[in-house]
Amino acid sequence: MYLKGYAGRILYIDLSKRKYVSEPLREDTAKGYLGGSGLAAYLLWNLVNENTHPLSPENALVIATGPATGALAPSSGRFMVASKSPLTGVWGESHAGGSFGPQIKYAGYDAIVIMGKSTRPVSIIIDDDSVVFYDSSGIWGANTRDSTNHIRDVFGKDFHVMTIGQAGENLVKFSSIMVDYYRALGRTGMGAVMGSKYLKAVAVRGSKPVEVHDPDKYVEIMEEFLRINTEGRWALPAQLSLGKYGTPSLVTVINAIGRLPTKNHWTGYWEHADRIGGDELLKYRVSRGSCFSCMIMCKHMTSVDDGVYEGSISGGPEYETVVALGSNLLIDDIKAIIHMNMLCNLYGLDTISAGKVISFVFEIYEKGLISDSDLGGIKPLWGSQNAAIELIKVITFRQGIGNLLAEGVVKAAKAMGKGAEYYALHVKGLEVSAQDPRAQKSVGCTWAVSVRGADHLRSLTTVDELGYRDIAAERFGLDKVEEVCDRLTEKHKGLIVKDQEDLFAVVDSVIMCKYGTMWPPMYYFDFIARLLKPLTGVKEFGEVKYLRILGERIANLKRCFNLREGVSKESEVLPARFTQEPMPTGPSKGYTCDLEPMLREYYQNRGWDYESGLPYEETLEGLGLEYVAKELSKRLKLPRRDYGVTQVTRRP
Amino acid sequence: MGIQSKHLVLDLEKCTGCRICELACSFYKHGRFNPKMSAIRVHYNYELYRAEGFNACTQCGYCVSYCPTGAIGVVNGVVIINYSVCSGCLACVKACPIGALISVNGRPFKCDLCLGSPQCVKYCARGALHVS
Repeated sequence: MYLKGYAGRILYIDLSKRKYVSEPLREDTAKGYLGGSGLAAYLLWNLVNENTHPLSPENALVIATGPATGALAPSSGRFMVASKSPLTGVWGESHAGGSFGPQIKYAGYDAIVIMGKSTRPVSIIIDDDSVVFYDSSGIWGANTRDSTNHIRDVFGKDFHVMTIGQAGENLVKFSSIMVDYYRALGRTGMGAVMGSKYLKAVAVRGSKPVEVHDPDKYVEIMEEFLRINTEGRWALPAQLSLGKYGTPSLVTVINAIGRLPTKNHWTGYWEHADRIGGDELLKYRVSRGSCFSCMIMCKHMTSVDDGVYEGSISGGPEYETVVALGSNLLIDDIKAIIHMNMLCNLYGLDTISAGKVISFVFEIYEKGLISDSDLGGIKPLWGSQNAAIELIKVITFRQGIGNLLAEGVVKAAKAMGKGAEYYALHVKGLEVSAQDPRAQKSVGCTWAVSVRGADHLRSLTTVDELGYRDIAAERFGLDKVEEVCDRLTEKHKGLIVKDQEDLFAVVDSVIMCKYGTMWPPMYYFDFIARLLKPLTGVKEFGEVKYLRILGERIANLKRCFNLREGVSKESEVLPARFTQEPMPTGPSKGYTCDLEPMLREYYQNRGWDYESGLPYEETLEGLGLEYVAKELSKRLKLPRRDYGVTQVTRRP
Repeated sequence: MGIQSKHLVLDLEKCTGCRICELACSFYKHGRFNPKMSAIRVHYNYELYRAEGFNACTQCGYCVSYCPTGAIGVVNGVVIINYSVCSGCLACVKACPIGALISVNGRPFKCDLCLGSPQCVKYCARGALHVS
């Protein structure tokens, strides 16, 4: 393959047969799906279908990098894994930073596809062209830190390792994969997919170069990258918030606009937010780090040296963790949060989902929907650190009530009945992230349409949240600025969510970080176009128009993946708490989220039929997804624009 | 050899392990990205988030006398390899007491401070690298 930027090969590993083969990445695939998330969507569409059980050997785990990975592009040290999610049963993907992704590229692969199931615990050690299946019975049952250390001790310190902990082994549905100790592939239960395959870890080291098509032009992009991050408009704001505090700097800022999830998302304002904010966390920070090829450098490590949590040391906690395990549970002790964050990292548990499952238990206990006898001695009262820590442990090891909770909040609530479902906050089975649609209306649309469920990383917008009028005008036109920049109106939010979803589809495929694209809004389609052309030599990548189509194609493909699973518009609903209960306290008091107008606008802009919740055939054809339309037509009758809105009936 | 010279210094406290210096070096010197082709290599501890050391030429000149073809010389305090004379025997790579000389595609490669404007220093956004 002559495309530069790419490594040019995909590694297929079959754990059942213990065989591997590497195949070239086809040029049309790279041009059509870019890499990362887009490439994974294309591969998974072909590798699995609606009959594939997420925890069966037939499910595939795709580890993918993008063309920018390993080249000196802004915040491009990231990689992603995708699979059919055991938590939601639909599209599952998760991204992580660190230095693992670039090593895959340097080892000579754009993506690694893992299928089958081993009969014994195994790890995959990839060293350039060699792939070794390493018997890992000895570290099965070990936490993520010990297993990472073990592999690096045995094979060398320059190996980068992604591994599961006990939660993944026990098939906890929201278990994570930990990368280089502290970077997490958190959401959608990717750890359980590894666990189901008896795959403990993947380690990789590479020594091959990433080539550049036009080095002279590419230097200009690197210079721009440096300039933006050292003297640009956003350089100082980014360093004073993300750089100084990391993501927890958001806690107090977001509390000030009444969007800080508190008490299982009951409200968006907490008077004790400063106790868990960035300044408080800074007291426990021991070092600052960064991901590969990043100038924002928001990563940090915290350590507690005294009290009951003495010896707790881990990377993070990040904003989402601080909220999920802090304000969301009314826990105001930052040391306890650091400790719980460490436990989740060691066990390999998604802190967001874990926090929301725990707050669910706290709330149904308060409402009397669960009895003490079910809880085995745990007293889940608001603010109880011990109860939260105990719950993390019983979930990880599936003891007592933990066995049910490990299935995720939807199944747990369903089993409990008695109206507990109301307090299970999720979309499509994925527990909600640390935003509130009542205080920022676009979040409602983001959550509802997101392919992996209630998730802030497929299209979260910041122009409305922070009111960047010049950027709103530039992207959406002067006439829409007023409404776009008002976070408390639903107007035009369907449009900006769609635009951001397309941008993120491209960003997730390039792969760059959301910091830089989401906030600060430094890089948009035009920058990515200028970056990709000299890097890859693909003429089309240099056109913003083509990149937008690419974003739409990837977003549509992932939505169609869910459609094939039988998950469509009926699942695009918000928990009643956000649509029925007006925000009880704080600056956003009195607001609810009205999803319907946003959803309608989103569907219109997406080229999907709102009434049936299906894509117009023309939309898919226009994006080069004829094969997707063809396969969907076997099960559904896709509407066509020329007949107007058609009555749609599902085939039996 | 006792030659007083300028060389790269990394402030371990400031380094965050982003490896942009390595990428910049390999790109400016070889036109491609590969940390293994970089004349500066940071030893970063990912478990503790701490840089524990780095590898870059201190311009000590120890390798000069090991070169059988006389390809290595000192210009303005910077040790430079003359590739038109270099035979690729890699005796200098073996001789370097700190492993700062590496072999890239069969040729020795070392930091020459980019002849006055080191790119790794320029791209270090944290200001952890400097010449002293």
